[in-house]
Amino acid sequence: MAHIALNNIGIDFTIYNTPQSFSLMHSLAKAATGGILNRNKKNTVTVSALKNISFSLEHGDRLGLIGHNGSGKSTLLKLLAGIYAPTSGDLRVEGKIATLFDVLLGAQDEMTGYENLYISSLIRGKSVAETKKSLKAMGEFTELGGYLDLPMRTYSAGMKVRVGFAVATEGAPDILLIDEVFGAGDQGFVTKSIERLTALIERAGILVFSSHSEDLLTQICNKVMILEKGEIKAMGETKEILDFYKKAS
Amino acid sequence: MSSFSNILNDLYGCFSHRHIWFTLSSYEIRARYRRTVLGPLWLSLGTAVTILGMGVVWAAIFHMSIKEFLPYVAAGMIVWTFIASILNEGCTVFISQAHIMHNVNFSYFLHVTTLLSKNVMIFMHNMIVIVAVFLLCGQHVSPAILLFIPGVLLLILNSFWVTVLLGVFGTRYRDLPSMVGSVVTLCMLVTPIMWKPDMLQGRSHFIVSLNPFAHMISVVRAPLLGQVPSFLNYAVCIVLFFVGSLFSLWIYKKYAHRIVFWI
Repeated sequence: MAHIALNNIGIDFTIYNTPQSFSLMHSLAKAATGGILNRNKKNTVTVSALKNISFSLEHGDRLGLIGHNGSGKSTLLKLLAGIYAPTSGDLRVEGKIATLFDVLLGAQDEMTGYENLYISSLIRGKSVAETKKSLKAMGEFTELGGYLDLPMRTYSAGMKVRVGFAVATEGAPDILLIDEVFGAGDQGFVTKSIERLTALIERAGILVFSSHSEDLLTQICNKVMILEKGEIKAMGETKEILDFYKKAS
Repeated sequence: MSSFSNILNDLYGCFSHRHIWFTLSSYEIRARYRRTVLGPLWLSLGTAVTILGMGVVWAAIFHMSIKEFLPYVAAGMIVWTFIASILNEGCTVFISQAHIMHNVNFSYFLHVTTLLSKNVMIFMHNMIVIVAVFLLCGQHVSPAILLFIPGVLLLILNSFWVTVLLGVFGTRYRDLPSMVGSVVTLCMLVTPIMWKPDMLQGRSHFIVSLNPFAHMISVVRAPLLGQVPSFLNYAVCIVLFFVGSLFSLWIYKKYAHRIVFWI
């Protein structure tokens, strides 16, 4: 059963070799977005990307993340995905995770559409058997037909996204993490891709997704969290939090 | 800091995903030669041209018969090509996979083994050149050739820890890739590849005996040439493997969780 629990999580990281001429102290006060910056040594900057994050999610929860650019939404998603390790605090994530951060993960221009479906599926954690089984269905979803046997470099940007999207939305994860990817390709395909994504979300045990679209959040989520400068500003029922967010901004 | 069990977990995760590193590395090689007529055979051909050119010229410089010298250069060069790629590409093993590392939670060792398996594949392509050169020069093959397999294993095992170590430091210190790149050629010249250790005639023999690359190459090259590598060769490679692995896993344990922030 999918389960997520965070207790007092913090993530700090150091950025090395920042230019010394960069007059950080002056710009600190002006920064409306991003985590808290500290300059400790000559040319290193420490970023507190997340601070005092505590919450838990159970099977069936759909959590939406909102906040300014750089408020920590992506960092939180990467933490849940196991990509970032917390600097402090206690993190428990149980269940098979799927991420939908970059749709074009693993895409290689010289390889054909089918080869790309195959390799991206493996990179996204599917077994060889699962991949081979779903290959045909993914190919059909892209509607690219004969193009799937041609190298990706011959594709338009929209066609590449179709391939990436087909792979990214395959499977039935316990925990699904989405970073602002919605709708792909031309008008006709957008409807189809939203349908597919909705089906994926329905199959998932827990969903955490970041978005700026209030419509989508209302449609999909039962909980919403507002992040500000790496801290939880508010978290609760979708409607109540969205009203609060609108008033605040 | 990650714990020792995390490392075992990462190693296991890497092993259980071996289909991924195999597919990734073969795709990388195929993608590189996709639009060429010869395809990955270019790997073998490129090596063949270098070996032939160098073998002929250096045989003349040293007044040696091409038939004797060419197999020696060929066997040494393919091992060196492997080592040089590991040194150069090892520094960027994580940087080059940044895209994957930012999207899914894979064992970091997976990127190391992908790099190794790619270079083993290239090595196998180069073995075609060895077979051709040996046939051409009438090189005798003795039962000692069976030692080629443990030799290659030692080479791969040592490459693993070297790649992990260079990968961690290369990601944090961006001068490392250029630094390594600038000494690799020098390393080749001071290692007995285009010359033989006995040409030193006792003078400055430490150049060979203190050179880890010389021992590394010897455990693979000597069996191909029908000789048994010396006890010292094996001892150095085995000790290097244990000491190097311990050190590199210690470094990994210390910094693994930060690598992704350094990319």
